[in-house]
Amino acid sequence: MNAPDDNTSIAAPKSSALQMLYWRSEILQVMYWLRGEGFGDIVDAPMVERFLGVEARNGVGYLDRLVEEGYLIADGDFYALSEFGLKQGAREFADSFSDLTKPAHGECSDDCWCHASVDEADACMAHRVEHNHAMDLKHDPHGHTHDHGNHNHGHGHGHAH
Amino acid sequence: MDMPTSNPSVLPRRFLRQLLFLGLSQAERSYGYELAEAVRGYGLNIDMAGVYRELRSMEQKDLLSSEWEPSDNGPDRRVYMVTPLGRDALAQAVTDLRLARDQLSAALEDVVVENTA
Repeated sequence: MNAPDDNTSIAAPKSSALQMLYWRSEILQVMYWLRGEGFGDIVDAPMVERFLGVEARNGVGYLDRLVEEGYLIADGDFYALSEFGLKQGAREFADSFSDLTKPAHGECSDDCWCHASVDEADACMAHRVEHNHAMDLKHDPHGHTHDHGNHNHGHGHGHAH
Repeated sequence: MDMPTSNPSVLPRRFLRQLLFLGLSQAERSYGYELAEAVRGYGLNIDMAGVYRELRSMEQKDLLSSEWEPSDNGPDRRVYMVTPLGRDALAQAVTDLRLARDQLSAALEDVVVENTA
């Protein structure tokens, strides 16, 4: 992965599972933003590299995965938002700035137990996914907000984040 | 994708944030595309990817705020505004740019380039 510019905050997590969640959010946000700026919502891997700093050869893998998951529609080397992806992109973009004090995808606080190893990071991610699907815009006992489809916030596993 | 291209320029990319602030100072609310055009107009060769990343970084530092502006005729558009913290940074950006201008002017004042052709 290319080192991002100094003035970007993009910092992908180490574990592959968390990376997929992270890049899904980042790619959907960029595509939604581009659409709003009047450039349509079609991207290819080199464009993802320019916007997000993820190498094109890795970006293709993420884009193809998003096609498999129904967020994107592929046409040769180009990818467009599906209806589902469009809704998710809007949500990801709004959520990414909704509360900057909360961790984003894979970005737990420094004292989270999931930083101990890749396996624990995967377990943390799985726990969050499980919780997010179980809770519908409710506050957990720790005061974090949960949201369907957004695996960003509120781990709720009893550790400070 | 048909992205606008910019004219060749010599301004370094490190001025991007300052120039975005200048663009933002021209209106209360600005779209990303408008800001990119403004920066190009100031002479910095930058594409939309660079603008996206910088705007995002500035927003995460609370220098900007943004919101989606609904549209009846097209997709929602992201509109950007300077925050109170950003206003301080804008003033600093103007100071930085003036200093750069003055230093360059001073450096160039006594320069004589001989034409060897």
